[in-house]
Amino acid sequence: MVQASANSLIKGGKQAKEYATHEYTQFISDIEHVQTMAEQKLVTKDVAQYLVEQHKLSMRAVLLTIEGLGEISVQNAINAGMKVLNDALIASLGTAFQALKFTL
Amino acid sequence: MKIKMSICLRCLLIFLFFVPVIGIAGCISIQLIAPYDQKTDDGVTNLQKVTAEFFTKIERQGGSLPDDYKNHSKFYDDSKIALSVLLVRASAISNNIKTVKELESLSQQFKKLEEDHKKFGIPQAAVPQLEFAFNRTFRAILTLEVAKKEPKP
Repeated sequence: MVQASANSLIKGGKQAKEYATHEYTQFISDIEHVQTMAEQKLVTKDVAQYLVEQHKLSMRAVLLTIEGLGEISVQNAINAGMKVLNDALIASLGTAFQALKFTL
Repeated sequence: MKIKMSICLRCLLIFLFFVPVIGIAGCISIQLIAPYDQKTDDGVTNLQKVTAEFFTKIERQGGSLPDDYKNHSKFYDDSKIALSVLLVRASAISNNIKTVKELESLSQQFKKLEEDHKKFGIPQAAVPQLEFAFNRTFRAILTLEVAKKEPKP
């Protein structure tokens, strides 16, 4: 039961980590690019500012997704454990019923 | 007689114990977050496509000045309506607060884009960065939505 829960948690954690790493790296790269464009006067300061604001707003969604992936991971881990327990109980009950029949 | 009753009593006790436990264990599954919603997935994917078309058009025409905003008002109106539909649906699903907040964030991005388009315009050089920012949000929403699907056994 613990193994089933742990496997589920590890899988979910790995997914969240990969996603977060990729998005953070991309975000930093994008901000640096905006700064470069402003320095090279490819865009005005006002445009550079609004580009940075857009990136900041998008990172809000990324953080919410990371939280959500964590919740899903915990949910799946608990349900994986419950399933193992459920299967074990059914197996026990099946065995108990067989024994009962034999005795009767 | 005594032995027979003892066996019967034991059988009854086993039955009375295991059946409710099985029943409860079988019924219980935890739901911390809303389940996957196909319509949200489709709606967000469609809005991403429409947004990509807008940015491609702006880039192709060499950017868009503030005066040019009025030629794109339909895009902003349609996006607002699409987001409204998505938000109402997402809010109606229980345990879906994260997706609702993400859609609100996306809504703010569109509102800000419209304001900045009217004030400063959209230079051609700015289009890729705008597209990255919007795609990051679309990706975040879809990543979460797809993750809500039932895990494969």
